[in-house]
Amino acid sequence: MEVVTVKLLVAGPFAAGKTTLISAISDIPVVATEAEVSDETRATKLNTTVSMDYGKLTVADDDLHAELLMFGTPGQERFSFMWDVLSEGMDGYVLLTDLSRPETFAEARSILDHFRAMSDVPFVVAANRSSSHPEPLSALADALGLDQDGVVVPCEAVDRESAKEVVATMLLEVLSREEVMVE
Amino acid sequence: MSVQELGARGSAPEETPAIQQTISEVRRRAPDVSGVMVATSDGLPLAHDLPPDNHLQTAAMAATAVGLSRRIVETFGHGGFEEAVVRGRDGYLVVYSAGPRAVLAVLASGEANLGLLHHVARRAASHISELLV
Repeated sequence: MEVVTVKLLVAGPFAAGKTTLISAISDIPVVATEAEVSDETRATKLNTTVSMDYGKLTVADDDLHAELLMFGTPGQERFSFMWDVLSEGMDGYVLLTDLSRPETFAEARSILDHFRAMSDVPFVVAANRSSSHPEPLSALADALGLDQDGVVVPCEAVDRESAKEVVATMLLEVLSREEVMVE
Repeated sequence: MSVQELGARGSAPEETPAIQQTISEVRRRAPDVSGVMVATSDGLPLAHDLPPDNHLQTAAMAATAVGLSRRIVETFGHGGFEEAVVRGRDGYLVVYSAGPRAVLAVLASGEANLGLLHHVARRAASHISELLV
């Protein structure tokens, strides 16, 4: 049986649902670092990640035992130094976006550009709140400047099964590159 | 160097002049300090005396250091977070809890007397915490 440890980052704009997604699927209590929002974005939500989230998920079947170490980033651009810190040694990243707030797509694009400039590990775009906002994913893909081969997965970050789909897709992308350290 | 007012929150809270005075006090009483930042716990500047070109990132970094340190202290059951010292060969960044809403960050050169710095900055942090209740 193949045993792998995979480091995944969850990035994306403020209030996309990054902490929620990691909390939904982690097997351990999530290590979160939240502070109260003090500016006008408080209208969107009350607390925000200032350093990182950390969670762990074990995925196993007959052929594979994968330990997924998931690191969530703070969303606001002022914390972009943490994107660089947390991405050290990552095997892949999820760009989480909020399909119900198209006004955040430009910010998502600039985050994606930041990560693509920094690393060429595989990434998956996840479109949160897709069931209540069934807009075509092509609008998101266009806004992010993705061509045909970009992977966009619809999801509900609060739902464990749906969130698992996202990281499972990510895991398959990572394994297909065969760059993961096999222990 | 004059104390800069915040800009990121739109309008300055009424406590800002008192916080600025506290910052000047730290500067006056602790030698080898090169900058003082008071930021919200979510990383926006409230008042500082840093050059304007790097104050936004300093505020965010101070909140990140405090947020992570708080979590570390909690994890090991060490009580409420008080301060964290980041020391490089040539200088310090020390972050202090200033109540639930704010953090105090002090930049100092490698020659700074850390004991004296703590003495001055802890009092300042406690004062800021009272101002922002």
